[in-house]
Amino acid sequence: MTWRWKIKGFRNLDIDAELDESLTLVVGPNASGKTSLLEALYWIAYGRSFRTRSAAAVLRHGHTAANVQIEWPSSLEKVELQLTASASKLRYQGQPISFVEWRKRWPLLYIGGREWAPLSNRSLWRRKLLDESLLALFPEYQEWRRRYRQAWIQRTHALMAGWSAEARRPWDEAFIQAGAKVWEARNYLIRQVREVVRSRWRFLFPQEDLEIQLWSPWVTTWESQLPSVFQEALRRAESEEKNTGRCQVGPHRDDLAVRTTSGSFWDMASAGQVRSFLIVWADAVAEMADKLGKVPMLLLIDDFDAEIDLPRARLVLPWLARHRAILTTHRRFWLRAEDFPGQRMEIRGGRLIPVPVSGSPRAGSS
Amino acid sequence: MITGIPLPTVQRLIRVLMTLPGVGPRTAQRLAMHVLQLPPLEVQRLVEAIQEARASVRLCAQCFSMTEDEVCAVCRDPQRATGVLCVVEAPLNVWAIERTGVFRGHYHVLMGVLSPLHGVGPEQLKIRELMERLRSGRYQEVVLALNPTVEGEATCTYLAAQIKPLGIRITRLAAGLPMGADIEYVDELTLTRALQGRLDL
Repeated sequence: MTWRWKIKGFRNLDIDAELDESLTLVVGPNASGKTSLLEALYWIAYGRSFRTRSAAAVLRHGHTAANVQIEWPSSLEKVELQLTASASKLRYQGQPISFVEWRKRWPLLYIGGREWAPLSNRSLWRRKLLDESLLALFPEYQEWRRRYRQAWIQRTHALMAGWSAEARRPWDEAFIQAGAKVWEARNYLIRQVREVVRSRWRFLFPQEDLEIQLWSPWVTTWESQLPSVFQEALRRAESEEKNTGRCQVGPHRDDLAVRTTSGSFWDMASAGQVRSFLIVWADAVAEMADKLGKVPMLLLIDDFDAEIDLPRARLVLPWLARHRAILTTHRRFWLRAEDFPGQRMEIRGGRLIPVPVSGSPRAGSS
Repeated sequence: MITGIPLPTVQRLIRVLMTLPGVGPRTAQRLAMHVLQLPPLEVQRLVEAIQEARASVRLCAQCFSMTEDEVCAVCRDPQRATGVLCVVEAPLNVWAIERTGVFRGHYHVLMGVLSPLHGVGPEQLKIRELMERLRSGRYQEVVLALNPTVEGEATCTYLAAQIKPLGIRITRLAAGLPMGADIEYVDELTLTRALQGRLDL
């Protein structure tokens, strides 16, 4: 299957290219448009960027609109994004479609370069990894998380305003109901991916074993009992919550715990190990989607080998080749590598240049 | 915010227009310019229409929906004393339900939903009035027709806990599949609700 990308007015991109829908490696120097390309694809799925909140920022200088199109010639399908500073509209087969609806047909997971660096020392980012993975797997998770956040905010305000226990009870219930749902989803995700992550990791780093779990005090609780256990915990934390004015229990305090035989992974992992973990994780999430019979997931991995040594980068490629994945790198070495299990494109000044299968168009320095 | 207009009266007009919901500086400026170009008689009619509507529309003494009389037409209609009371969030919701023509009973407008974030507690809503109406013994069923948002549902939970001791039947609107939807693409939350609220055929 091939697909055709047409991108105009989006950052520095000027692309009209037909590609194979398999593993794709985009090679280019810094500031050539690698991340912008992934950003354009991400926008089609999520209706926003992963690195800015402003639509005006992604418009090409001097342009008022951007247009991103993907066509699948074999099935005559077409999706088109029209973007201005104030509106972003998606059309599928010429008909308007919401981003959530489109994401159900076209799930996508983005693993960034710069954005994901704080993963190793911030639990906030590890929750984000869980949430982004769940959003890619289950688009409806967006609504669950939204409801949980809303209930959390409302409940905290009721607590701070000193509402009576009777008036607060509806918010406790809303919070418990939505929070249990978020926990259920996070637990399920981790149970599904942890064996794959562990076995892949052992392959990359034979000396280390990883044990992954969702850190929350009720991680071992049966799903059906989560609400009652949650309620009990809230009751016990009541006086402390009143004193601090903060909500002490709930999925907003979750963490993704990864242990090795010698301690917490996050305390000792190098940048390369964190990046390896992210790639292995993305591979496991995409495999989970396959196992559940979902639409195959598109993985976007920015700067996939930035901190990884060459032998290990070679090891992860066959795994990623089983999915639809778009990787970027700045190492020109990959243009010459003969064993690359997919197609390669070069990006220069926002334009994509196909690379002949035999090797680089310009053999030279890496 | 309003720059480049040297006329204080026009500036004031724009500032007043901007207090309307959904009107930003740009729209306010455009509306002001439009008003300034109208013939004086037209402006007079606009002002009178606003004043008249504001002066004659009030909240119904019983159900708090909007009316031009002391008590609204629904509350006055003897045929609608069916013992069913429908609780809604705002007057607009009354008209939405009236358009369906299916509901034959009385309404009660809460004038909002519980929201600690905005400082809206039970005392800020027409809940005391609702309980008084229910205690009068004229109603056998309460329909909670609030939006299926987090706030709407929390308000439902609160009301249900308050009404239960009175022994009145409490129902709420079904939440489920929209017309013309495809089950394959419906989110799990909606599908769960739809399964829970399934109907006998």
